[in-house]
Parts: sequence; C-alpha cells; structure tokens
Amino acid sequence: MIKKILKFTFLFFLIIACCISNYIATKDLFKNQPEWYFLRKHSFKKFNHILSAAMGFRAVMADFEYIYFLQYYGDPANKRERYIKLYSIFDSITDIDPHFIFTYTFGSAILAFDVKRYDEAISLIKKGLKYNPTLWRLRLYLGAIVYKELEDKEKYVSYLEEALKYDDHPAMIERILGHIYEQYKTPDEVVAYWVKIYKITKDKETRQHAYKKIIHYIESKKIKNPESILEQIK
Amino acid sequence: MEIVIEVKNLTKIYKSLDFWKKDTYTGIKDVNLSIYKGEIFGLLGLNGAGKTTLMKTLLGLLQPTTGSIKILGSSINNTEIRKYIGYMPELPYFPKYLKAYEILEYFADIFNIHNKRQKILQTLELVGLKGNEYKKIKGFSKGMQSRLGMAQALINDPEILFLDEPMSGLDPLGYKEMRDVLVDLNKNGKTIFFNSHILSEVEKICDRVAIMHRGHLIEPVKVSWIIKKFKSVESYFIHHVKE
Amino acid sequence: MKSVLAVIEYIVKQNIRNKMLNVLTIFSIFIIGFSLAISELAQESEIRMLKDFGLFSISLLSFITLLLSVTIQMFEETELKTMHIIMVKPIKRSEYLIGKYFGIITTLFINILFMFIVLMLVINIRGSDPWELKLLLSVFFIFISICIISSVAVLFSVIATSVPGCVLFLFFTYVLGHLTIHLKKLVAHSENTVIKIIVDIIYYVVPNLELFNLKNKLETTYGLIEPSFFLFIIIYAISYISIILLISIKYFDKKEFF
Ligand SMILES: Nc1ncnc2c1ncn2[C@@H]1O[C@H](COP(=O)(O)OP(=O)(O)OP(=O)(O)O)[C@@H](O)[C@H]1O
Ligand SMILES: [Mg+2]
Repeated sequence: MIKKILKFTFLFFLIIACCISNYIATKDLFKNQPEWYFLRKHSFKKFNHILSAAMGFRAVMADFEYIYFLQYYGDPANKRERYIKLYSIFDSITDIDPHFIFTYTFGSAILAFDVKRYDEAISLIKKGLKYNPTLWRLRLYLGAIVYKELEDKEKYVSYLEEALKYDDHPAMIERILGHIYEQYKTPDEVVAYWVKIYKITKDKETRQHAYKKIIHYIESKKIKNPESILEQIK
Repeated sequence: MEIVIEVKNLTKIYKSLDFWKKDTYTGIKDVNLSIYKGEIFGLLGLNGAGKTTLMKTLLGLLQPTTGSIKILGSSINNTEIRKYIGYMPELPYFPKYLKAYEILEYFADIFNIHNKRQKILQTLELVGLKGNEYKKIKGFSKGMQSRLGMAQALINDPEILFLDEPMSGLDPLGYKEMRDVLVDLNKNGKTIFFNSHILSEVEKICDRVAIMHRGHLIEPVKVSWIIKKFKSVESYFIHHVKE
Repeated sequence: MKSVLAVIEYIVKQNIRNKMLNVLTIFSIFIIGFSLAISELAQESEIRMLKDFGLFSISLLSFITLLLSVTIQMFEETELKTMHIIMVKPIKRSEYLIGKYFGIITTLFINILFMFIVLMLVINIRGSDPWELKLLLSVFFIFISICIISSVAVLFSVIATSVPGCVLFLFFTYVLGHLTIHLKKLVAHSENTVIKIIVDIIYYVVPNLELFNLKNKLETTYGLIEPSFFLFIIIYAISYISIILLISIKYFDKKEFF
C-alpha cells in the first residue's frame, strides 16, 4: 500500500517536472527566437518552406535553394536575360533562413555590381538588416551600393575596403576592389593589393585571377622590384 | 511424494485478437493437476487441444483467467523460482546473425552462471551441437535449432523442465539422443513436463501421462497401468479422443 | 543489474549484426559526396552547408536507424516469439525493458558518434574548426532527442500488436513532435478554447522535439544558447523519458505472449 502511494507520488512529481520544464523551456524559446521562426498563417508561399520549417530543417532547405541559385547564376544561358530571377531567388532563400548572411552579401554584390540593379540590391540588404540588425557588415554593403549608385567613388571604395576586413566577405568584393584600384592607383599599389588577395582569398578562381594580374603587371615592366613580388607569391 | 507443480481449477479464456470484437475462446477449462518431483510427465492431445496453452499459462506467459498455479510452492512471477526452471518452446527461434555460443552466453549472463564458458560448451555437447559453437544461427537446420532450444533450457541445470514438443524436427537418431538426455536428467532427480505427438517415445520414457481434449484434462494415469489395460499408449489415446 | 547489462549487450550485438551500422557507410558516402559536389559550387558558404547538411543527415539517419532497430526487434519478438524464452528466465520484465531501451540508445550513440566523427573529419579537411561549441551542442541535442523518441518507440513496441502500425505511429510522433511548438505559438492568440485545449494536450503529451533542435540555429546572431534553457530541456528530457518508460513497464508487466 505504502509502496503504491510512493510510486504514485513519484510519478506525479515526474509529470509535474515534465510539464513545468516543457513550459518554461518553450517560453524561453518563444522569447529568444524571433517571430519569423515560428509558423504563422501566412508564413510561406512555398510548400517546401512550410515543410522544412515545421520539421526543423530550414537551414538545409535554404542551402539547397542556395545551390539552385549558384547553378542559375553559373548558367550562361541566363545571362541574356540578365539573371532576371535573381532577386526572387535571394528572397526565397532568405525567407526560409533569414540568417543566411552570405546570401545578403554575395547577393547584393551581384545585383549591384554585376547586373547593376541597385534598387533590388538595396532592398535585399535592407531585408538582411531587418532580420539581423546587429550585423554591421551589412551596413557596409549598403553604403557601398548607395555610393556606387551616386557614383561617389571615394566613399564607395572605403565601404568596400571596410567590408574586406571581415572574414566572410564574398570573393567577388576582392575582384571588384582590384578593378577599381587599377583605375586610379599606381601599378605598385595595385600589385601589392593583388598579392594580398592572392594570399588571403578562399576562392580558387579569385586566386588564379590575382595570379594572372600579378604576372601581367610584372611582364609589362611597370613594377619597381618584381623579384620580391615573385618571392612573395611563391 | 513432493509436489512441484500444483494447478487448481485453471481456466484460460482467450479474448478476441481484435479488440473491438467481443467473442472469446476457451483454451483450457478447469484443469487440476499435480506433478511430483522426479517424474517424467507426458501431456498428449490432438492439435488445438490446449497443450501449449496449459504450458504457457504455467510459465506465466499467459495470465490465467481463473484458478491458481504453484511451482515449487510459489508463484511463477517470482524471479527466484525461475532460476530452477527450463523451458523449450515449440519451434524455438533465435536471431539469425548471432552465434550459438553468443546466444547461450546471453542466457548464462542472465542466470549469472560462474565459469560460463565451460558450462556453455558442456551444454552444447550434451544436445549434440558440438563443433557448431561459433556457427551463425542462419546456417542452422531446423533440427539444429531445436537442439539449441534444448540447450538454452538446460543451461541453468533446471529442477523442472518444460518442453513443448521437444522431438519435433529431429531425425530418428535425434529421437534417441533426446530420449537419452531426458532419461539421464531424470536419473539426476529432475522433473520433466513435456507434451508430444510421438506416442511411441512417450511410452518409452514417461512415468505418467494425461490427455488433453478440447481444453479438458483427462485424469493422469501411470504408463504401466496403461500398458496393462490397453496394451499401448496409442490405443489408450485413441480410446479417449475418439468419442 | 548484471542481467540488464546482458540484455543491453545482446540488443547492441544484434543491432550491429543486423548491419544496422551500414547507415554509417551511407552517411559517409552522403557527406563526402555532398562535400565534393558543393566544393565546386558553393565557395565561401561551403562550411556552413557542410554543417547543415551533416547535422540534418545525422538526425534523419539516426531516426531511420531507430525505426529499423525497433522493426527488427518487434518482428522477432512478436512474429518469431523470441520473447517466450527470455520471459521465463529469472529477469524481471522491467529489467528486460530497461535493458532493451538502453541497448537501443547505445546503438544509436555509437551510430551518431561515428557519423559525427566523419563529419568532423570532413569539416577539418575543408579547413574549418570542427570543435566549434555550437556544432558539438547540436549533435548532443540530436542525441537527446533521439533518446526521447526511442523511449516512445519502446512504449509503442510494447503496446502495438503489429509492426507497421508501430512504425507508422513513431513516424507520426516524430512529425508531431517537431510541430507542437508551432501549433502552440499559432493558437497563443486564438479565442477558440476547444482548439487551445486540443493543442495543449498534444503539446504536453507528444514529446516537444523542437526544443532540442539547435541545428537550425547554428547561424543565429541571437543568444539562444543559455545555460538555464539547457537545464530545463535536460530536466524535460529525463522526466519525459522516465514517465514513458514507467508506462511501458506497466503495460509490459501485464502483457501476454501468445
Ligand atoms: N492467441 C489466441 N487467441 C485465440 N485462440 C487461441 C490463441 N492461441 C491459441 N488459441 C486456441 O486455443 C486452442 C489451443 O491451442 P494450443 O496452442 O494450446 O493447442 P496445442 O494443443 O498446443 O496444439 P498443437 O498440438 O497443434 O501444438 C486452439 O484451438 C487455438 O485455436
Ligand atoms: Mg502446441
């Protein structure tokens, strides 16, 4: 009899502990996670978004959409229509995972500097800032794009240089800056820049690009001491 | 004589397997039975008579609907008692990818047997599986699986052995071997409760037999008495189940 | 205690012999193939994708392993009647069930551990830090959540009479478990009390798996990872598992083996 009572009180306490901890943890989650994290009535337009959000794998789903974007962007056939779908693709990726920072930085760089649709680039960055207000890097991109549109080269370059300091900048920024430098800096400065890029870039193509540029400058004999440069990129 | 299994007014009613249906089936009805220490008891009966049902109820695999069961003076739910019991089900099956040795090792661990290696090898030899210790069950024939079933029942040197058709699946030599094993165990004072369809074997080894017919148990009698009255167990059996 | 260990060893051995760990090979092929495929494509976001995809595969494949393990065991227990033998041995039914649960957990632990090691290796080869705290925590919580589903699996395998039924219900629990928190949020401002009560019942009865889903939040800039939160979800996991196991034992004690 006493054993039975003990058993039931034990079970009772377990149930209480289970419910309370569940309740508190959920409260915590509600507080800590932004609104968009939870499914709402009009959360998504796409089925795969709803599915992945409900089952808790939205990060992977965003990755898959990102891969789709890379294929789309890599396909020359789409170049003719100036990658008209780009913005909607970026929008979709950042719908499912608004923390996908790289989509904002890379996406806005492409929109602004490659296909030159500034309004789309700005609105993408703004979306990024809305969901990631603490992410100061995004403001740099915004600044760069705005000044590029206003054709204020000095400010635009300074924003890009600032963005370059962050580890996770898209490789595209490196090349864009290089090309701008070529227009107004001395060959020595430009080569120094490319050497730096050659060393730090994570992108294979950009590294090759930098290498070609350096060789090109050395062959054109405008450089003061080509030997030390060659030494550096060995 | 000491009673080791005592069954009183045991009834087992099967409920319908589909929970929404109400129909029931009486497996065994009003069984009274006492088994004495050191005897070999044979339970006979047609297919579907309720032999397996009785054995499973005795072992606690099925809950009795009414009635009481005492094994070694205690309830079977007492785990202490189960240390003295061996059970071989009809058509024993073991996981395919395990080896004979590993399976017996598992049971030996549960019985907490000391120097288990020796005991396992010994038991396997006893049931005629010597040389197959490290073979996977996948490669076992039906008879070999039966033998392994016997081995796991013997691993703990049980006082009471419950065997559900131990001869099924064995070859003629196997019959003899099994008979020898049972008689040998019996000589060491073990009680054996088994059911079988092979009446000639029953006749050779049993002390007493009882017939199960449509869920009812017909009073157990001595084999020697049957031989005197009916000449053979077969004619006794047919006499009882024919009507 | 010794018999519980014997059961654990037996279940793990059986799972391994049943080629359950082949899942690991599948995982390795998956993850290495994926990493090769995206190395051509994805450039700078490669590491992020590797982590996301790796964690996603770990959680999915461990759930599949659980389903397989439960299916195989249930099939043997019900159809092939291996239970009859073990149930007359001197082991309490509760001990057997606990042994079985921890056997499943151990298999899954080995599984997840090896998958994670493969993932860490690939991440390391790709030139990033595999010892990142968030990554480790995510895997740890994947394991905890699979522990919870395993307890439900044990319960279902005791109650259910058919294997497909059990698998189906488990799958359902998995889906609902991830959904409850969204449902709760959805009805938070609803006026309809009936719906609220229904959602509350689901919310308290079905395991709240989304609490343990950190893999989605690897990239968050918010401070989600607070010690108090972890404390509560660990309490939740332990109490939930205990309750489910106690219920399973209660059922199992009365179970008949036809
Ligand atoms: N789970 C069950 N539900 C309903 N009825 C059952 C169940 N198991 C057995 N029965 C019925 O109980 C009766 C007795 O079955 P049991 O298995 O005890 O027969 P048996 O004497 O062992 O037969 P056999 O010689 O074929 O082994 C049979 O008529 C069978 O139909
Ligand atoms: Mg039978």
